[in-house]
Amino acid sequence: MKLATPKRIYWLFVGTFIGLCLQFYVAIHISEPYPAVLLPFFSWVGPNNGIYTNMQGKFVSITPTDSLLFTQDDFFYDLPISHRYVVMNRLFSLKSDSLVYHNSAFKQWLRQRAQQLSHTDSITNLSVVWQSTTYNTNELPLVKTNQILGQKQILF
Amino acid sequence: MNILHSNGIASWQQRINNYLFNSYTIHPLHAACCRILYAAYLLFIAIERCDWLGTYPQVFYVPPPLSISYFAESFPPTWFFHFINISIIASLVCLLVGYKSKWAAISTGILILLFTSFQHAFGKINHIILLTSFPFVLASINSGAILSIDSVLTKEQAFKKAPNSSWVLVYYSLIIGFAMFSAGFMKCPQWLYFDTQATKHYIIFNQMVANRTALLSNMALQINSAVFWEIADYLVVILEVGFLGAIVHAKLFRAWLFWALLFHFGVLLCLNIPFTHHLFAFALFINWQHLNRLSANKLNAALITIDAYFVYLKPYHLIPLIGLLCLVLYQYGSLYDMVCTLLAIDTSLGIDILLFAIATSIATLLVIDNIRAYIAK
Repeated sequence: MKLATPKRIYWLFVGTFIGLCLQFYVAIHISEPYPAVLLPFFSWVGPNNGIYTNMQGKFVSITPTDSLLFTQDDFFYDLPISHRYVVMNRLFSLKSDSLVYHNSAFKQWLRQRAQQLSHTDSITNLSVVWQSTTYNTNELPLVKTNQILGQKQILF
Repeated sequence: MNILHSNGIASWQQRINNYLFNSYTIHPLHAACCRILYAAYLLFIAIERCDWLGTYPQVFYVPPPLSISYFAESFPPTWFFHFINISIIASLVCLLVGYKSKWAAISTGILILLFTSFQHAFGKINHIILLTSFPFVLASINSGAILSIDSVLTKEQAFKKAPNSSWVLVYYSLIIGFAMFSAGFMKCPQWLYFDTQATKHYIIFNQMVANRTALLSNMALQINSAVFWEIADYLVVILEVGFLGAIVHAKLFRAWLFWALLFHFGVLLCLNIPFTHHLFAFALFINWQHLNRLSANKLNAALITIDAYFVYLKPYHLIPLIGLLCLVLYQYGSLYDMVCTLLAIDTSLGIDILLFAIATSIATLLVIDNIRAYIAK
C-alpha cells in the first residue's frame, strides 16, 4: 500500500464529513440543495386529539354548456404523485400570487391540459376550488366534515 | 513517555488503517451481482420516461439550489429528455451485461442525476440519494471483473485483479449513516415526547386521510397500547440516529442494516411507502463468503457457470436490446408495467413487497447462522 494513497483517503473522509455537516446545515436553515445526502425527515408528529384536517384543491373546467371536475391527480397525471400537492399549493392555492395567471405560456398550458382532459376545445375558463376535510378518527365509522374555503378563476 | 506517546499514535494510525482498508472485503462475484441486480431493477421495473418534463412551462420551474438544473432558466426542450431516456437505457444495458462497466456505471449515475435534477425542479425533492450514488460506488469497486463482456474482452482473471475496495464501502457506509442520521435528528425531540405517538399518526393519516391503504395498516391500527406506539417511536429514532455511530464497526453496521431492512419492510407494509432502492445499497455490505458458505458453495459455482455463457455475448448484440427496451419504455413504461398492462393486473406495490420479502429472508438466514455460530463458540 502506497503511503500517499491512505493520506488522500483520510482527507477525503474528513472533507466529506465536513461537507455533509454543511449541506445538512444549509438544508435546515436555508433551502435543501440537490443532490444532498439526506433522507425524508418525517418529523411531523400528528394531532393529539385524533382530528386531522386535509386541504385539497380541485379544477373545474367550464365550457358554455358544461363543467367538469378534475382532481390534482387527474390534472397533473404525468407528475410524480409526491410532486402534485406541492405544485398545487405553490401555484393554485388561495394565498398564491394570481399575477402568475397573466403569463401567456402558463395560460396556454393550462388551457391545453383542460382541453385534453375535457375532450373539447370550447373551454372558457378554469376554476380551482379549495375545500378542507376534517376527519375525526376518535369515532368509528370515521366522521368527515367538508368545508369550501374559496376559489381562484383563470379566464382564457 | 515519548515512546508511549509515539506508540499510542502508531496504534491509532494502525486502527484507522485497519478500519479503512480491512473492514470489508468485496468478492468480484458479489460486486458483479450488485451491478446486475441494480441495472436489472432500474431497467425492467423502476425506469420511467422523462420527456414530459419538456412540456411544462417556466412558471413550474423552481430548481433546488446547487443542482444542475439551477443553471438553466427553464425546463430544457423535449428532445433533450428523449436523449436522456435513450441514453439511460443504453447505459443500463451496458451496466447489466458489463460492457465498459466502469464508464457505464459513471454515465448511469450522471444521467440519473441530470434527470432527477430537472424532475425535482417543481419545488419538491424526493430523497433518492442512495439510488443516485450507487452507480458511482459500482464504478469504484471494479464490478465488471466477472459476469461481464469486459471480462471476456480483456481476458483478465477477475480474482487476481480485485483491488482493495474496503475503504469505498467504509465511505459509502458514511453516506448511508449520515443520510439516516439526518432523518433521525429531525425527529428529535418531538418523536420522543410521551404524549405523541408519531408512528401511529402516520399510519392513521396515510390510511384514512391520504387513502394510501397498506397491507398491514388495518392490523397495526388494532393495537391500542400507547406504550407499544411510544416504543415504536423510540426504536425509529434510535435506529436512525444510531446509524452514524454504527459505521465504526463492520459487524455493528451490518446489524444496523438488518434492523433498517426490517424497518423499511415495516414502512412498506404499514405505510405503503417503498424504499426499495435502499436494498441495493444494503446488499453491498452482505458478507459474501458467509452467504456462499450458507449455500454450501453452490452460489459461487452457479455464478461461475453463468459467467461461462458471457463468451457468446458480443457488444453488437446490445443494439437490438436497447432498441427493444426503448420501444417498451415509450409504449408502456417499464417491462414490469408492460407485463402488468398486458395481463390486466394491478400490482402497484406487489413487486416491492416481493423484493423486500426476498431480501429479508436472505438477511434473516445470515443473522440466524451468525447467532448459531456465536452460541456454538
